[in-house]
Amino acid sequence: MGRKNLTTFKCEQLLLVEGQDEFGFLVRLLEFLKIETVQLHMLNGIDNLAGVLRLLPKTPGFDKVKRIGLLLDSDSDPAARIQSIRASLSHAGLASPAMPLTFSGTPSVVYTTVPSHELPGCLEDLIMQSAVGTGIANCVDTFLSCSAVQRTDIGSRYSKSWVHSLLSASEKPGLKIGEATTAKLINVEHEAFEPIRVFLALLTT
Amino acid sequence: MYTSFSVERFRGLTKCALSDLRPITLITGTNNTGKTALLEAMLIHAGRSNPQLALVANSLRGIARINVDPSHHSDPPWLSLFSNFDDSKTVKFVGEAFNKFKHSEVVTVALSTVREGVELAGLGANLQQFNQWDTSVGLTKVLKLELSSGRRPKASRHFLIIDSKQQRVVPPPVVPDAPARFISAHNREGSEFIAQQFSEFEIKDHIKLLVEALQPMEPRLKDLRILFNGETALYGDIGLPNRKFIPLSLMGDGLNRVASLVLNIGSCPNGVVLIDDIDTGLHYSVMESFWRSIFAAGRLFNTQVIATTHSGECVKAALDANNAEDDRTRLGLVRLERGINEVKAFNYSPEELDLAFKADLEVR
Repeated sequence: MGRKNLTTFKCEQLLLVEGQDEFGFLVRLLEFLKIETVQLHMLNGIDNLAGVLRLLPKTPGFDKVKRIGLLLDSDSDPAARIQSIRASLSHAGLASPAMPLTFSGTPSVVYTTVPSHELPGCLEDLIMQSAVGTGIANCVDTFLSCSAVQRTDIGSRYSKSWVHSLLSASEKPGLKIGEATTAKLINVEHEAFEPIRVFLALLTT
Repeated sequence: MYTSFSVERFRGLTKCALSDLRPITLITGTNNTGKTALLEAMLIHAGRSNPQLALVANSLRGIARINVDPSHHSDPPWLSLFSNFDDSKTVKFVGEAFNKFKHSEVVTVALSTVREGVELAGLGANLQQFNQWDTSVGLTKVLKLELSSGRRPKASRHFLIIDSKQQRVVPPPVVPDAPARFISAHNREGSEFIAQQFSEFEIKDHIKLLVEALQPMEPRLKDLRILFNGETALYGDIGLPNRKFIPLSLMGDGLNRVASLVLNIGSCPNGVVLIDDIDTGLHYSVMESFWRSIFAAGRLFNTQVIATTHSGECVKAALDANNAEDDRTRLGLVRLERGINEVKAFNYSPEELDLAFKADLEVR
């Protein structure tokens, strides 16, 4: 029984994302945009950001990498997240652009957060925007309103609960975001994902 | 214990520098990055004043030709040790290690071919005074080893002389402060070494360590003993009736490999054991227990283990064994990568290895 293959870098453009959901979603979006020059790698958790950035230059194939993109969740405070990205980049000896969506250094580094670098939230906020008003979306609203009354305040996790509730009621319940994107239960062509498309265009041109 | 080591112009290693070496150091890298050459370089360096180890390094690669025919032009048998087969330049090894007084000491070993002409004639005249040169044969090929250190800034010189009659080292090499052994991927120790080393273990009451190292591969193993049955060999008691013991040599390659490695570590107290492809012959399921034994033996004998591997399972198992130790800083990994003019070395601490596995990043 062998271990799974570990990552070496093979492309000039490297895109770091947080976890499996973002990875699966981006795989489908890159396919849709016919972008084949970007290698995706997931951090397996935001807590690994600083450590993974420090390991990048030691990883086989890093000398091929010309551009590094970071696409991470804003979570509750986009400014704090950006500060954390910049500190982690500097600590790893990589370039740390002062502003999101701008390049600096060699290899060139660019970053942004979702839903945008000015708004709190995460990828699920964009997915929620893309699905509002469609199919059973209204039922999900009603369900979450009801559960909020009955149970706890889901507050900042609202969009995550919303998306997972939506997927649980789909024709293929139990799919994760990446799988749901592949199954076309999430429409990557929707304009809600424009901020990500803009970022990918920046990274690849 | 080596803490740093650098090589210049040795085999494919035009230049390579390793730092922060740990008591257990794994060396990884793709094929032909110089992992084995690095171990060979360390063996020659650890031998200090013994240029004959240059030929030992070659024999480990299956290059055994040492005869020189003075009637024909021939390359010196150590030529392949020099980068690009160019022995007009010097091979240099610099190692920093803790000596027997536990002081850090930098030792430089340089190898060069003594050129025909003035240098060789001068050496011949010198050696003739000490009856070390038979003028009827003439000096044919000479390898010079220069040894210098912080303690002895004036280099001492030792010559490996090969003529059509014999090979010899002049002046004879001095026994180094710390022992070193090189174990190749398919090394199988002779029964004499095994018996001798096992006896040492028995005297010092270390048999349990060896039995426990072998039990994951043979859970029935209760005890080990040296028996004479035509020749002296190591036998295992696996509980067969009538006190029937099984020769270790019949108990599988993996088991013999582990026994050999543990005994070798025991044979180099306060020294270094250099192991090529350490996981050869080992099934993944015994890898972690194997590494626990290596850590235990290394700790017990204060022996540094520097080993190459291509196996991710081997690295992970070594990391898990390290993380079960009280001192979690004992393991280090150096990944070698061939650059344009040098072989680059990337160090990984246990914390970085942990993270690399969590984040699925390659370390080989």
